[in-house]
Amino acid sequence: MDAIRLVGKLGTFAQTHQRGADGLFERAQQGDEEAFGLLFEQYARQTFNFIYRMVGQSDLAEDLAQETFVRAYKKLGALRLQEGTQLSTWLFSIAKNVVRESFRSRRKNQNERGLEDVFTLAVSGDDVTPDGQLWNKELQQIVQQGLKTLDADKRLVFVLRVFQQCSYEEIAAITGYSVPKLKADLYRARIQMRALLRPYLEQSNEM
Amino acid sequence: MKCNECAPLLEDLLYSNLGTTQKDLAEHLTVCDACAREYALLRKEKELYDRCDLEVAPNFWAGVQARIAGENGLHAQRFVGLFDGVRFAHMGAAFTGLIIVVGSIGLWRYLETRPGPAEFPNAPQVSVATTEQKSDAVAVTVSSKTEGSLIDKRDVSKHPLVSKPFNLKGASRAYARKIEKPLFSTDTVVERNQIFTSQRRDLDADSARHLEQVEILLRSFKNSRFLRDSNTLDLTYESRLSKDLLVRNALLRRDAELAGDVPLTRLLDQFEPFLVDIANLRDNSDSKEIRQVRESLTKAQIIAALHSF
Repeated sequence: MDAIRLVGKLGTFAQTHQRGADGLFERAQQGDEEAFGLLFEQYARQTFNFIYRMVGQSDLAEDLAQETFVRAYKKLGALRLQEGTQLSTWLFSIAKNVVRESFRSRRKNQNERGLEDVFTLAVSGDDVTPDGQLWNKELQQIVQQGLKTLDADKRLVFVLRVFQQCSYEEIAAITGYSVPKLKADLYRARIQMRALLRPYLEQSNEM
Repeated sequence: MKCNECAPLLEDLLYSNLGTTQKDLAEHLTVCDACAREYALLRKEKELYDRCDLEVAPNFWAGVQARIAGENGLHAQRFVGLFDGVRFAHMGAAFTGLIIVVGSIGLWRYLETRPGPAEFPNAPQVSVATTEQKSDAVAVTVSSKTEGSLIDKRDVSKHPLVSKPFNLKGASRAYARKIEKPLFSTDTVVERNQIFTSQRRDLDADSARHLEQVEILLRSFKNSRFLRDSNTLDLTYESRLSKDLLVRNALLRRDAELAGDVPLTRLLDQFEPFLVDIANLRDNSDSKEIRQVRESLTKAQIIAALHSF
């Protein structure tokens, strides 16, 4: 009945959905933890992956991702989203700052642990064979090693573009860099990473 | 579309819809092997990177919620702590305010009930008495009501700030000598006036009013004219005013000396003999006596000193 009644009123459902999302956002802004969870849980995987690509340690990445959400929860009350701005962009900005602060503190403590925990992580995909799982883990290690060779700016741009698939505008909003710089950084990072991944690319062709 | 136009758009083609450009790009990729190979490589890379996507731990969001709850608890504790602080601050403020109010009331009551200089119960009482035996003499005495006071009833002659009892005849004789030998040379007066002028300061209201009255009295006395066919002058008013001013003068001089105000003390000391002389003049003094006092007044330039002070 609702569907029938909605016929002839284009955009009504979309408006209702938008109002629901707005209500959720307002509730979350007022400190409702449940609303915050409903609104932000979908970004957990993205945020964790982004931070993991940046820091290369799963435990640390999880801790920093949680820290990112706690900060988001605290700052959400003051957030005024402009038109066209996505929550993910805002969240990645917070995550970027959290990662930078972590780098600074780690530089002071000089206790970098490297990438030894890569093999303990569960790679996504349910239909992966044991050989495929091993191959994936090896690929993870190579990718992380390659990311580690990139400087901080290129790594940030590359991760946001390739792994998080953000648009140039979003990356510019998150990083504060200009779009031409982003494109140049991305091009160089891609060339650098391609050299490392060439054997896997050929293997991928064979598979 | 050419290859150099195509290359930058290949990556956009991977992640987004290029709209009308996408059709041109697709046409170019069908005819250009190099661009097609590049695009294929990008797609393979994307597939590889997509395979690197990691799963988050199942308890990840529970950890986030726990940390948020912990932050909220901490915030609540801080909030309560803030109110604790506010409560103590309020108590402190209330206590301080109470002290201020009580102090203000006490100060106000004290100022309201504080006796003036003439109202001090223990203050020395200065009186000018004209004895019947010496009807033409004025004696200034300082007495205190307080038993055992340092200034216990005594004659003004014993007080260091008050001159000896005045006697018209003695004073006249003294000023008769002073006419020959003026109290101040002109140079001295000018110097003193310069000092007074340079050291001009704010006098208290009583002193200023007193000096003004003395100046007016002396000026009035100096400018008074004898009636025609008469060598007498009615100085009843001036004589009575001089007596009043003498009393005040004694008090002010004592206060000035206690306050360490040397210039004022000297000035009060300087014109006091003239007040005594005027006070001791009879109601119908003859012109000779009056002229003597006037001349001494002119010579001493005391009016100018008063004016400049």
